[in-house]
Amino acid sequence: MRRIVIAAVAVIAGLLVCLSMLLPSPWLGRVSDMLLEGTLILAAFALLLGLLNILRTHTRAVFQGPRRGQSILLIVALLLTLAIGLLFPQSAANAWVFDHVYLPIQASLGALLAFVALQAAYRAFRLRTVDAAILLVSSLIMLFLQIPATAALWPRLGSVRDWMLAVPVAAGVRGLLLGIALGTMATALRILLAVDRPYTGEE
Amino acid sequence: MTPLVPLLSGNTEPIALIVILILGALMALFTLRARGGGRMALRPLRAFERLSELCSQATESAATVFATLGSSAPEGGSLASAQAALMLLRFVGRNIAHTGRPVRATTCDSGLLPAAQGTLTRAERADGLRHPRTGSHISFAGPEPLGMAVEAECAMADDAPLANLLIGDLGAEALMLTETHPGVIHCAGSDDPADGALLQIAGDETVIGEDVLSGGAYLDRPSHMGSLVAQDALRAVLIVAILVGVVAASIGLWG
Amino acid sequence: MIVCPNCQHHNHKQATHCAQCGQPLADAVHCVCPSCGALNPIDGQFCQRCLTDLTVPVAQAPTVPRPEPTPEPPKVDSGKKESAPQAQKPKTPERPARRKRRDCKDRSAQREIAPLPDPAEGREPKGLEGGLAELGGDPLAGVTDVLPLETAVALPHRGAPPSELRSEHEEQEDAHLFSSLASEPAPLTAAAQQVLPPLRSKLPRWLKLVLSLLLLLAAGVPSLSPGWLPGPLTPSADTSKLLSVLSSLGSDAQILVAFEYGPDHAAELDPVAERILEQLADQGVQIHLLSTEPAGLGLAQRMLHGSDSLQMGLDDEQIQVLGLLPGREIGIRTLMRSVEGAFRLQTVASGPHGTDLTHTPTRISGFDHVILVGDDSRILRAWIEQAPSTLHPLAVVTAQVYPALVPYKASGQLSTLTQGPTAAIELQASTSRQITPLGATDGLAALFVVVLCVAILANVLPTKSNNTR
Repeated sequence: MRRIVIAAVAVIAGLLVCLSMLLPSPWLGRVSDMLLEGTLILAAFALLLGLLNILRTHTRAVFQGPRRGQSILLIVALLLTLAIGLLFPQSAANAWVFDHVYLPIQASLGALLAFVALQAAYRAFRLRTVDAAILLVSSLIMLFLQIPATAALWPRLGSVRDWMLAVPVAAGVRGLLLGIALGTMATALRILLAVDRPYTGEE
Repeated sequence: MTPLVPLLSGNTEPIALIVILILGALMALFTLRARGGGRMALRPLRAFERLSELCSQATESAATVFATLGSSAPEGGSLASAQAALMLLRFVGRNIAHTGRPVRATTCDSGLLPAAQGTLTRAERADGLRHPRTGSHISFAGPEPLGMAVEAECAMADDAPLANLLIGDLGAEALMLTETHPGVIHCAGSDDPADGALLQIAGDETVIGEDVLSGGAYLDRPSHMGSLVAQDALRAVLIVAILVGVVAASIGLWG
Repeated sequence: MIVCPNCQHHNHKQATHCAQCGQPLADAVHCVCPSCGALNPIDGQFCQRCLTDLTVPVAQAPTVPRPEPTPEPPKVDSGKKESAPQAQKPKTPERPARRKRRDCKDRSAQREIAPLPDPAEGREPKGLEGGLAELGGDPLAGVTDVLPLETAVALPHRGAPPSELRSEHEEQEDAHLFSSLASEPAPLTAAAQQVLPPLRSKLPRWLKLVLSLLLLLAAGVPSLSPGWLPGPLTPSADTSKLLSVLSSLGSDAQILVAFEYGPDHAAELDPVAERILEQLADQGVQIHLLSTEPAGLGLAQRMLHGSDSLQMGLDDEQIQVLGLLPGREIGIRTLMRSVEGAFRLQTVASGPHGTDLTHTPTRISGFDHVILVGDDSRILRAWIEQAPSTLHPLAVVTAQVYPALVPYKASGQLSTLTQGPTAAIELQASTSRQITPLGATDGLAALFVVVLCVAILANVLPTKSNNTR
């Protein structure tokens, strides 16, 4: 009985939101807005769950684990940032934390990815298969064409780049997007028709 | 031509409704056929075959499998990707539950965290374990994919897993994991076209686009098999429609 | 065992019709592993879970009778010396019979291993020679089944499937096969190659150092170069269109700018975002800022308060920071239905800068243009797909995301689509502003040279495989 009720709630809610997008009904629009706002509230509480998960995982790591110092630092930074955000919202302290802590760390990690990407490119550019050769040649051509000054070398290069982007690249991405759309529709229909019931865990 | 004018003038809602109804009917038809034991041909996808092999290998060597889940569940349009990730997690969790080394996972989406925990717990129970161990083996690493990649990297350094499942919106972050742990078998998948190129060079086995969403059919679920065949049938219809449109536009009937 | 597709009854491997419902089994797709009970494809050779060979037929066999209790060990030979007079040993209590090994489900063939004779029972302490002789024969005499293969593989917490009875001949064959396999040296590397993947080779440290140095050199070129590449730069069609759209805006225009990127791509998109805001400030338009992620909003606010050029060009009346749009795609959908509903404009009468938010358009169609600056393909596609058909955003994206949005540009859903780094260079060149080091075109050329060097190195240097597993 419990599973039937859960499935019924999920199916009805999903159908209402789906129909509100397809049929121009103000009543459906209001109901779907209400349901979507409920989703946002759930997502906010899920973020709270995530926060508790972080605290639990790293508190456990403080007492047993190889990276105690890092876990302590994480917990302290988390609680401090949370306190500043709650007690002094939209203040200079908040902005300072963002500008001098969060932003540099994220930007540095992002910059590290460039080194990793180059190592991956080294592996990928080995000419062992036809795919690797195509990857190498197309990468070099597109990189060369992206340089703005190439138009000064030969004016037609700009139109070559535009053609490559508009025809083969667009065609490939369109095919991907179509397939993804079909797959997403099928997944959504399976959930709407209660064939898949991830909320009850049944296969 | 008159009845088609509303459709051709850019009003897409009726078209969407018609497509959904057609897909639903095809899905019902093919799912019933699949459940009745009808054989359906699927082109081989090496990544899913490898997944089964990895489960067997993990069983043999008592190694664990790591999962890095980057999709967002309740907030966004990547529900299908999240559902695919949960299904693959359930498959792996169920097949290696008895090894004594449970699946470890990390995610950057708080909405996916409880769903993944529940999925693994149920998978282990279904495999016969009376005391599932998954509650503490899935961690949330903050809402940024970079943070998740860093946490996954540390966890893999501690656990030395056999394989790592990278599912979701991970681009360059996947490279960080695959390059810092070359001895781990990385199976990557994303339905985001922007990530496909990077994952193709990052992963040992990669699925991109809709192949990520078709995992269920390859893991022996009749309902998924039916919907996959229905997708293929609808794709054929769309191809015909596109060709007809191209011809019509070329000879001046439309546009 | 074959699983009937109609009633899921488990039938024998050689069955052609289901024993329960009579359904023909020609279309069956699953078979059950006789060892662990896992479902496998019907044409599979090995079980996917326990690797049992599924092609070995398992036939019916009669129940194995309970073995006779073992006889007492023979007495010591009278010819051998006795080391000490026999001492009377108290009789030890009988060891309880070994408990039957049972599975969770009923098994038609219960094999029971007979209890081994208690070595201490009825025996006198002897020297080594006497002791060994006294053991006599085979200590396992009476044990009929040394290695019950099926029960050894079945897992204790899972109910084993009903076993099929086997004949003695088949059991002896199995035992012989096992003993021959156990003594045969297993070619592990050959087997491993079939299962293990080709491992990636670890890059040597010196190579990683070389690659890192090359990348650092390329990153330093814009700061060092005096402008080696020839000019002037010709902006691309999309950049020219973007510039013309921005230049044609009147002072009463309402522009919505969405900062949909994070700090990891700030270096790529900040320059072009600054150029766009400066251009809008020059036109005197009303700018409304929002973001679906907190970091994007932080970057926008940092840009407004931190940039000297912007501070000179903008006043607080021009900029309205609408705030964070929660829910990503759901938030965008809400925004498309009603800006007022998404931000509750009537209840929040003034923004963080003290500006009056009641002049913000209440619907998305009230904005003259929407400019998207982003690094997330999924969010940008949500903006484009959910926007009304009359709205054609202007998008500036990272190089990674650019190919994924080309179809939208080709179909006209996007008005312009430009890449961050090249758009910044071209906008700077077109507006005659001072080119910042990051915008120099020489940096892109240096990156191309580095990638070319990497491609050459990858194919020239020898590689080593690192099969550690």
